[in-house]
Amino acid sequence: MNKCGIFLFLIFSSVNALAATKTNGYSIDRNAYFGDLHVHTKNSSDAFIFNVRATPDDAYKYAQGGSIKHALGFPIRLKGGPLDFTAVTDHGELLGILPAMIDPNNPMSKLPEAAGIQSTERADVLAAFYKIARGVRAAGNASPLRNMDVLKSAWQETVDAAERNYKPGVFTTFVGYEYTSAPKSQNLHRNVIFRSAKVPEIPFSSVESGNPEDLWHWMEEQRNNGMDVLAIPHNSNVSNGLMFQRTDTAGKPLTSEYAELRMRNEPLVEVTQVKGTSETHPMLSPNDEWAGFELYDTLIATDIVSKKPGGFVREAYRNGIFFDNEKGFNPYKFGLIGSSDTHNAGGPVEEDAYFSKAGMLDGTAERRGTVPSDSKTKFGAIDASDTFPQWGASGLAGVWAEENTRESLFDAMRRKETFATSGPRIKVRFFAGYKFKDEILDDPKMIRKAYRRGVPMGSDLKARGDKTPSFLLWAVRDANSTWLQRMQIIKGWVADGESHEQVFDVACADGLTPDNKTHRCPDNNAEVDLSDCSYDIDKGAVELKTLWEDPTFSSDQEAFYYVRVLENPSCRWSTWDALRAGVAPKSGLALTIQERAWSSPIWYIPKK
Amino acid sequence: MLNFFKTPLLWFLLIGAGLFVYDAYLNKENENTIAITKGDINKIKDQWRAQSGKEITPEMLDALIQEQVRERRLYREALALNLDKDDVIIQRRLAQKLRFLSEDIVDEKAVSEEDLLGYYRDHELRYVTSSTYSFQHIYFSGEDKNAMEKVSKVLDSLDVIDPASWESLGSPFILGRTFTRQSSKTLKNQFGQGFVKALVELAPKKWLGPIESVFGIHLVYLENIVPGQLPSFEEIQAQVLQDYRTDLRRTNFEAFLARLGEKYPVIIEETLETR
Repeated sequence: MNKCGIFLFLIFSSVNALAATKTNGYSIDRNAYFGDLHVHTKNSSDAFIFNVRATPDDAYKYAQGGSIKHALGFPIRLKGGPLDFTAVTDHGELLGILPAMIDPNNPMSKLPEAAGIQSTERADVLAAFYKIARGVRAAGNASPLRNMDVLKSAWQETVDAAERNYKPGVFTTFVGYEYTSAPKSQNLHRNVIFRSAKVPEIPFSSVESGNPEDLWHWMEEQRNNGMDVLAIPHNSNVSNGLMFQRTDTAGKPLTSEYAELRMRNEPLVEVTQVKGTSETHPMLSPNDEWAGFELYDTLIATDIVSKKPGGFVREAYRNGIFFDNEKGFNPYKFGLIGSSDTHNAGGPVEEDAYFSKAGMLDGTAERRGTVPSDSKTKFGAIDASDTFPQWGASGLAGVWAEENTRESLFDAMRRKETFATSGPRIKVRFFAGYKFKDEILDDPKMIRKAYRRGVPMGSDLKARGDKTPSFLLWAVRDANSTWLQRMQIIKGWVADGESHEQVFDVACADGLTPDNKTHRCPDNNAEVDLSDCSYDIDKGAVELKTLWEDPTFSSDQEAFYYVRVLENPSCRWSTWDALRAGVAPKSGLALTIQERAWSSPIWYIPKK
Repeated sequence: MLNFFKTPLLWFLLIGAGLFVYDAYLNKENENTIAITKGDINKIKDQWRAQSGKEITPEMLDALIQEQVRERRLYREALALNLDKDDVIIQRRLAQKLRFLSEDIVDEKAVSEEDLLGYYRDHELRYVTSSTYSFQHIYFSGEDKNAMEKVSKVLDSLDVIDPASWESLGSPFILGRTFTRQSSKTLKNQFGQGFVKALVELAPKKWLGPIESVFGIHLVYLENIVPGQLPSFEEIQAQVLQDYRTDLRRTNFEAFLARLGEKYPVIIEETLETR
């Protein structure tokens, strides 16, 4: 193609792009869209064994506010109304294999692994689950379970369902799947999300390779063929420290090529979901009073406690800027989202309507161990009544994008203008800049000016001589959840050859202000009445908005800043379970939690 | 007497009887015989080819045939021992199979456009879209102690200020200042029930308020309400067909169940507790 041709082509395509119709609701200041990018249906082998028969269409029905059936027969529905986007992400390893195994006309139904996959007895369900997992791990692609025809056809079903349910401007679906690598039960799972419905014939699964670097190389190939794709890791809390290591998978030191490869393919991390929150841990952040939020720390389906270093996002951010400072590259410069990891086709993100995530295993309070029951809960190494109560009613992905379309949302994910919530639809805005005046907080054109004069969440803020930047933060409550209590900034920085962190309260509800020595809001004493889970309606804020300067800022120190917004306390799902059953809450569990949102960070980059 | 033995009828009867006896002798073996037909063998060959892309080897074919035989023997004996009684999974599977069969009939039948149109007309309420609201608003934060004062000031001055400057009044609102074609359900989830209740009562094309929401106080300019519409039959014909078939499937199945109800009456044993 000659230069003239390329020139004409560029003109043509940019005119085309400009002429592309904007959907209803398009806003140049960007809107907040909420969604779930981690949903399993019957096409996932474990969901199927858990008696789940919901389809991808059911998942999209639930996401759009409809009612679908839980595996145990009761209806489930989002009380807070429809989501804006969803991705069905079934496990790629055995996609659609189990539904094929119950078809007597399919030769797969004769395999020994087919026994017991339809059982409604807990013991059989768990036995079948382990048998299938072992079978695939042992034989890899030679396993008769890896039937390529069935896999391809189930993948096509996934694509078709996404296409059928995609309504640009109203509801967005993404084609995706889960890459479920877990060497020795150490969680290295990632959800792979495609930008469009133009996707490869079959997803790259952990059967091909359990090394995420191989997944990234496969993703690079797809991108080179015009199919943009990104991967979102989750559950670093149970990766035994492998998710955010200071070396690569082979144990070799990290390089800038590794960092670029990783960041090009994994611009986001799912920091909260049903199987626990991975922001930080009290062991790693002893000075963060709110670090112990919905922790889950045993490797999946074992009773082995996961190592903490390398398993949490804040520490990864710290290691990231440390690497950048020492070596000039940052492999952990990702944005944040939340999602559910539901295996019921619908996410249980509301505390007062929680039904957990594993189909028939934990669908009732008795089965998940928050209410006493006669049935045995111990299976092999794990005691279900220890695991399930630790899980939480999280989370959702928040995205700031111009419109509700695949392209607009995906591009926002690429530039990390995203935030995570633990379930409620709290909206968070975060900007950094050098030219924000105090009046901007009341300026109706606040957001337009913020974009023009500063950078949004997910971006870098470059040093400007010795100037101190200011940060614009804005959070608004979810009408269907409780009021906001405080807004915080978590800062990490490098000094004296180490990384450090600190939590600053920057805005408080109820007319309170943070103490300028401790950087803490006084307690607003918002309470929850545990006899009926009602909360104080005159405590807390509808919105919190502030302009903040870092009192410890030093223009030559590399740093990251991200926002954490906390609601007033509200009942945890386990308390609701106990309340409904008329029993005392199970001991050892938090009675109330403070739901929250986390923004993606802004990185301050000093002059080198 | 000898004449009798010479009649053709007798010989026909004797030969016929002989054939019946011989046939019965043959079938005595066949009662318990497992027959692997040419059709069965071809099926095994076809499935192998489809799964592996190659032709089956004679050894493998032999092994799979033996497996079939083994399974059928077990199956026959299991039936003879009545193992299918009281097995919940078999019961469930057979009930499901029968249900699918009764539903298959519906999917194959073609539906006339007349019938579809009739169904569409009968179910208009289902297809009507909800009313949508378009409005702009001026927001006064619930955090602002002087909100009500500001509201009155703005209300008083709205007549004299340039209407185009509404955007510069009030505080920034995180969901934006202009809402276009939002359903009342969406607005309820975003603003709360109280706001929507007040919104639907507003007269259009003027600034009215104050109206409360979960976020604070608003002055609202209702642009218009687009009432719910009924899409034309052509626009949603595919959806109507799907719904028609779903309903037909259900009524057919219920009729089928009713017939089964007549065929299989039920007795529920009462215990002392249930009385």
